[in-house]
Amino acid sequence: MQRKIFLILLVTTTLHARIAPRFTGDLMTGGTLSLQTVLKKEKPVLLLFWATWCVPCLEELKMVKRQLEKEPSLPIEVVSVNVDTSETSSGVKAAVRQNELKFPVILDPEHNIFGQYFVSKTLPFSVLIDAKGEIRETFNGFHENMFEKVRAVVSKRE
Amino acid sequence: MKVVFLLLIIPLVYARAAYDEEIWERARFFGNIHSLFSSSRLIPGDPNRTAVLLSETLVRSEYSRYTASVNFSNRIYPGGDTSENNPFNLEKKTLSAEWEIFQLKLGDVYQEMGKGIALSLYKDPVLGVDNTIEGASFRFHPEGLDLRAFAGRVNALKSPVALNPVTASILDTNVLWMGGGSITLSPSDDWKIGTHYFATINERKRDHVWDRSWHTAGISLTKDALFGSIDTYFETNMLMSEYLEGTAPNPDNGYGSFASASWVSSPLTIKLEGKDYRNYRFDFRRPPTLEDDSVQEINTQDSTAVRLSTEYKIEEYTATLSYLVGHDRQVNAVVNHPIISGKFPGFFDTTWEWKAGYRWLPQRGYLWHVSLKNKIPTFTQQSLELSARKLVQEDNVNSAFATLLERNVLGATYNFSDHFNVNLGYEYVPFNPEVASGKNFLSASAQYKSSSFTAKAFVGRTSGGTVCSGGVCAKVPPFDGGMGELTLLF
Repeated sequence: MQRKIFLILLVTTTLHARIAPRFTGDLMTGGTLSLQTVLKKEKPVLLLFWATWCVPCLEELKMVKRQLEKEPSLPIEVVSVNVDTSETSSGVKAAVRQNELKFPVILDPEHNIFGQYFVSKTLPFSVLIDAKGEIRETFNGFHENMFEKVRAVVSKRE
Repeated sequence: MKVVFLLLIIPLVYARAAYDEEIWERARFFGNIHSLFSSSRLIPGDPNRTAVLLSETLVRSEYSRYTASVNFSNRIYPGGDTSENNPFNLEKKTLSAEWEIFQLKLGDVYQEMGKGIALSLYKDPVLGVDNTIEGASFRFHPEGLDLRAFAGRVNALKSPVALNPVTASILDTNVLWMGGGSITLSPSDDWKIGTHYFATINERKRDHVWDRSWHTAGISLTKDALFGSIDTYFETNMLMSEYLEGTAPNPDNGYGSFASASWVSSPLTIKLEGKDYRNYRFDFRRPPTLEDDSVQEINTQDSTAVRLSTEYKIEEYTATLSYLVGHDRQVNAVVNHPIISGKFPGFFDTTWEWKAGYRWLPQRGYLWHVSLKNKIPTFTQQSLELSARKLVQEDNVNSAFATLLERNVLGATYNFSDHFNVNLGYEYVPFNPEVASGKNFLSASAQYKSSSFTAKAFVGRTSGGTVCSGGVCAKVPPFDGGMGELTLLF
C-alpha cells in the first residue's frame, strides 16, 4: 500500500509543472536582481547555472548568446547564475568579458539559489520558466536543442 | 520505518494539495527529498555487508514576501544495530522576510565574508557539508550601500546524506557563538570598498564555560576596468585569538590576504593572483588555494603563493597555461605547480579536453596528474563520453618514510538521451599506501534525470582517496558494494 501511494505521488509530482522558487541574487555588476522583477516583464525566463571551470557551461552560454543575437525579437529574458566558489570566483568577470555576455550574471558562491533549484551539482543546469513563474523545462547538461523548447514555450504564450 | 515513510510523504501530500487547490498564486510550496541507500563491505572480502539509509527532506513555503523552510534528516541501519538509528533530526529551519532593500532572516543562514578567507558557512552536497549560523541576520542594501549583520551559533548537519561526510568535529564537544557584520560601499559602478568584523566565542558543552574567543576584522577593495580593462580585487584579514581561562599564552595573530587582477583582450585572458596566509588557524573557512581542480589537500593556514594564468581562445580551440610558485611554511618548502590544458575539436564532431600538471616541493615530494576527455556523438541525441586520468604522487622523497601513490582511472559513459545514461568505471591502483584492498576496481552505474526526479544506481568497487570540491578536500575510504540515490523535487 505504501509503495503504491509513493508511486502515485512520484508520478503526479513528475508530471505536474513545478513553481519556480523565488530568489534575490547579487549581480556581478553590483546591486541585486530578483526573479519577481524579471517576471514582471511578463516573458519566459531562461535561468542558466554555470561555473568558469565547467567547459560545457561556457559552450552553452556562447550558444545562448548566439541564439539571442540571431533572434533578437524572441520574447525571452535570460539570467545566468554563476556558482563558482571563492576558489575560482576571481575568473568570473574575465569569463564574462571573454565571452562578451550581455545578459545579467548573478553571483551565487554559497549556492543559495542553485540549491533551491537542484540538489545534485551537475553543471551546466538550466531552467526554463514561463511568464507565470512555472518551471516548464529543465536541462541537465549542455543541450544544443535548448532553443527548440524555448520557442515552444514562447509560442504557447503568444 | 512507518514513521520515516510518513515523514517523507506528508510534505509531498501537503505540497500537492496546495497546488491542486490553486492557492499557489498566493502561497507556494516547494521541497525536495534526497535519499541514499548503501550496502557495502567494510573489510575487503568480508561476506557481511553494512546497509545504511540516509535521507534528507526540505520543505519550503513562500507567501507574499515571507519564506519559511524546514529541513530534517534520518539515518537508518536496516538489519543493523537499531540503537544507532536516528529516525528524525531537525537539521535546519528558517523564517525570512524580504523587502526591496531589506532582508530579515531568523533561523539558519549561510554566511561568507569576502573570499571565504575569514569565514565560510556553506553547503556542499559532494562533501556532505551544510554549515549555517542558527540565529538571525539582516541585510540593508539601498543603492551604493550593502549593510549586513548576523548573530547566532554554528549549526552543522547531524546526519548528512553522504557516505563519508566532512564533519565539523569541533562541534562535538563545543558550541561556537558568532556575531558580526559587514559594510560595503559602491561609490561608482566599478568601485567597491568593504569592511567586515565578527567575533566568535567557544563554549565547552560539558561545563558551559566560555573558554576561548576569536576576533576577525578585514577590508576588501574591488576596482573594475582599471586602465580600461583590468578587473582587480584585494582583501586582507586579521585574526586575533584569546584564551579566556587558564594561563596558556594567547596564540599569535593570524593574517590572510588575497589579491587578483585579470585582463581580457579577446582572444587572450591574463590573470594574476596572490595569496598570503600566516598562522591563520580557524575552522569554517574556505579560502582560495590557487590550485583549482586540486587533487590533494592544500595548506591554507601558513602559505604564500602567486599564480599567473593565461588563456587563449579561438573559435573551438582553447589553450590555458598557469604557473603557481609559493612557499608552504608548514613543511618549509617551495611549491611549484604548472598546469597546461586545452580543448579542441576532433573528427566526426568530437570534442577533446585535456589537462596536465606537475606539483613539486623540492626535496619534499611531487605529484603529477594528467587527464583526457572525449565526447563522441553517435545517434540522434546520443553520445559516448570517454575519460582517462592518471595521478602519481610521492611524498618524503628523501626519507626512509617515502610513500608512493599511483592511481589510473578510466571511464566510459553512454548517454542514451538527455535523461538517461550508463557508466562503466575502472581504476588501477598499483601503489597506494592507504588501501590494502587490491589493485583493480571495477564499477557500473546508471542514472536517470528529469526535471523533478533524479535516480542513480551504482554497483562495484572504488579505490577511495582524496576527493576535493571547491578547494576543500576529504580522504574517502574504498567502497565495495551497491548504492542507490534518489532525488525528488516538488
